[in-house]
Amino acid sequence: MDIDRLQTELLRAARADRPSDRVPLAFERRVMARLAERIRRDPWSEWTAAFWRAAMSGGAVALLAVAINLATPGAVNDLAEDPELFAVADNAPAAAADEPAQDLW
Amino acid sequence: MSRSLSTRSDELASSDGVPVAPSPLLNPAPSDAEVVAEVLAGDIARFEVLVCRYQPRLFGTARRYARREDEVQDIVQEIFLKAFSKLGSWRADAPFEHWLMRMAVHTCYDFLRSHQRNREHNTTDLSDDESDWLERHASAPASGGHDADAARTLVAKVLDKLSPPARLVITLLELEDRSVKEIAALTGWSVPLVKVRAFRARAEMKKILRHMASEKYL
Repeated sequence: MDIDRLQTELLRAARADRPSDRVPLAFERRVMARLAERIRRDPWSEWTAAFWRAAMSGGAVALLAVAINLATPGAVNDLAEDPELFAVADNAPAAAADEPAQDLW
Repeated sequence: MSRSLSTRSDELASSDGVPVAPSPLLNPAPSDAEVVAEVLAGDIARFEVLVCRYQPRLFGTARRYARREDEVQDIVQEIFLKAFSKLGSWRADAPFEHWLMRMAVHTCYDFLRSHQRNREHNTTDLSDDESDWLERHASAPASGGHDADAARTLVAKVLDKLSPPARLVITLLELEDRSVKEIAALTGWSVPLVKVRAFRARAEMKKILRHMASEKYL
């Protein structure tokens, strides 16, 4: 049997058989009723969706911050290994203690 | 524009003192964009205009993928419900019909994926007419077009056995005569993917036909 020819003929038959576009009576009313029912049944759906969206964006931002933090450990280490930074930080309390007390008021 | 025309028609009617039904020429049907804007502004009842306008088209499309009438109605209803919930995402730069048809194709594809049934049938499911048609085709391929009904039911059974992507692409490409580019736009697949799936779909269909023929004649 010639399968190619069989396929061509079957496809030709299917192409010639256009499906009907007949609409059942009052179908639009059914759709509108279902729509109204859905809106009535779930009045909080928009709020829920908004909360979910907010939660997802918050989570995404948190993940992004963690990822950035993990991806740049060198920056933290560089600061920790910077002797001048700690020298300034170590001297800061001493410098504050040298200032006269009345300057604070 | 339509508002000003209908107002003028009202004025004419009141000056004569005789109520006149508004002429369709003076009060043309609102465009899709106007109706969508009204629905988005809160007039949900106006969505019925879009339902009435596009339901025949959607029924024609859905009947290509589902055979039972209740399934067809469920598909069309689902398309309209999805369209309503995503109405805000329609940009008026493309026709509303294209946007709706994209949604229809996606819904039909979801339906096919969730109803992957009757794929393990053999030729014993073929009716006498269908078997006769196959036999006639085997003996004289040129005379295959005589019993068109048998050919149609036979092809429906073959399409039922195809995988969902194969059935979708065969329907769009071979039965609806759409271009590869159009199919890519409707399905969201890339053009090369449509071509690959079309190639595989034809091969899958041939395999099913070969299997049918071998079961019957070997």
